[in-house]
Amino acid sequence: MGNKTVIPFGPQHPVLPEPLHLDLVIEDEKVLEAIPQIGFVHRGLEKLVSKKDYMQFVLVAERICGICAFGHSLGYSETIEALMKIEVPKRAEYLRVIWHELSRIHSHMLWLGLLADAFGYENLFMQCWRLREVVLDIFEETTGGRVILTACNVGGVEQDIENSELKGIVERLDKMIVEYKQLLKVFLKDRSVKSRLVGVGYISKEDAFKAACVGPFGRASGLEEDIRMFGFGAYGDLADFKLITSNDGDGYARSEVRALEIIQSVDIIKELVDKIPDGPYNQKIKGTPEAGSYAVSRLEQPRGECYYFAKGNGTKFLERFRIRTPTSQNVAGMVQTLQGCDLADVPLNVLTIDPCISCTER
Amino acid sequence: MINEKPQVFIDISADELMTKVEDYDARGWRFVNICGSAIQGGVELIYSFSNGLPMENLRFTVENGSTIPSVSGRFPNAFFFENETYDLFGVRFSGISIDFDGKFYKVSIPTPMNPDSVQARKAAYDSAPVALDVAIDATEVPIVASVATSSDVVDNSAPSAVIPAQAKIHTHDNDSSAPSSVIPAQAGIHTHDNDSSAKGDN
Repeated sequence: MGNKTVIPFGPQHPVLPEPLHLDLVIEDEKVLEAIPQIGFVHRGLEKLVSKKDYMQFVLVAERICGICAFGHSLGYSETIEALMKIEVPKRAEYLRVIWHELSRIHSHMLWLGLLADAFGYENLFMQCWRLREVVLDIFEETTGGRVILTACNVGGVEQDIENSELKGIVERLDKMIVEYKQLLKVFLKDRSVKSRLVGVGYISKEDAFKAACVGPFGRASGLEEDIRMFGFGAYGDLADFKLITSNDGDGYARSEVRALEIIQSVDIIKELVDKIPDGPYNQKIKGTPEAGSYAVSRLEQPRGECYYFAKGNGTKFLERFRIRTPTSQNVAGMVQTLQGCDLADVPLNVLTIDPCISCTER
Repeated sequence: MINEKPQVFIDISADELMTKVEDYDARGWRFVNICGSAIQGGVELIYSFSNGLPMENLRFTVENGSTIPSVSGRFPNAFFFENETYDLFGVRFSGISIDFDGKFYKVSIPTPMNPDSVQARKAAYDSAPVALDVAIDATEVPIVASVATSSDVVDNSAPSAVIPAQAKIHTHDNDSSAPSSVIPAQAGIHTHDNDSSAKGDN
């Protein structure tokens, strides 16, 4: 038996796109304990509600994260709508979900690419990101932006997508998904991929529940929770919503859940495009949030449940706005997956929860 | 079927917190969030719990400089929010499972979301049994100063950006029987060893 050694991991590491620091207490090659530390990119964006009014802040909310940018503007808008009891036009709800599911596709594809890169499969990484370009092109054509879309606003959406254009989007997604299914075979059946992921970073259903894991990380351990299944907004009009879960609880299960969610998102978009009603997509918002009004809202971001809180004070500035991102829920679970794993598997383990540190620190 | 998002806020007193939390734990609810917001003379805290679609929010206020019990023993994910609330609002939590003691976020001024709490926080530090090396007074050089102080303890050859963080965490590692100043030096040596081949190339 060797001595206990403390190895610092991060904040800069090839597998981490964002700064996360871990103190790894190791004995021989086994990790005994991992202590996380974040806080390197805290920007205080929540504090900006005192400088930007509730209509302007949607632009700030969107800039919290570069990957789930649309999701944050959607979550913020839904919270303010709950705070001010605003009803959103039906067409806007559909368009929001279509953009949000497109964001999920691009986020999961980005993550699958990063995963492939982390275990040294660079061609797979390249192919994932090539297919992701299809979604980014759709974003650019429908909103003008590839990352920051500025498409969602309190009360509706900023611009419409014509029905003919929606049909075109579905056709392009159909073509993309044929190619994607070829990649899926590699992710789910390739022996070298399995050898790096199967059994790595296991967390049981009980532990995942106790640590309150959310999103694909929790669902890969068998937790049956997805905010989409509660039918908020246009999700309530879906004929059926089947949860994608796995009971394996390891890195392979997490990649499987995310990989299959891409196909599910395409199906959701196709169904909503068939059902989308005509009508207005925006409305003029009058008034300010009442003093002493509170609202909470939850949204299923690509990484899991995101919680939003807003408190009004009678002026156009909010008293308090709070975002609790999925990664901050998943950090406790991530620490558990690291205990007992090999040192060489630490980067993969950290990656499989899909950490988004900039979101988490805001 | 389209559901409405539940908006349930339950007003409680700070003393009732642990009873309520134990009740949620016993009923199998999930801990969602702690949200602080600064009010006149104190902080309003909202603890959120969910069980699938239903979500309930416990709402209570504490005075600046207060210490309340941590719920991280029952809900491990709470350590994140408790450290965050301490850094940003100055509400102290006793018995957090991983306690960063004011070093969770790198903030340029103490308790940026609740500046009124600085004086109360200073009083709490003065009466604390263990001397803490965090700069409290907003007029002095804040957290950066403490990083520099910590790195003085550490081997100077070690990278200063990483090791102070190590030092802070292991100071509060309850399992470690070694003096706190030994661990960071040890970490520094091992970092040096691992990088020695790369340094040799230079």
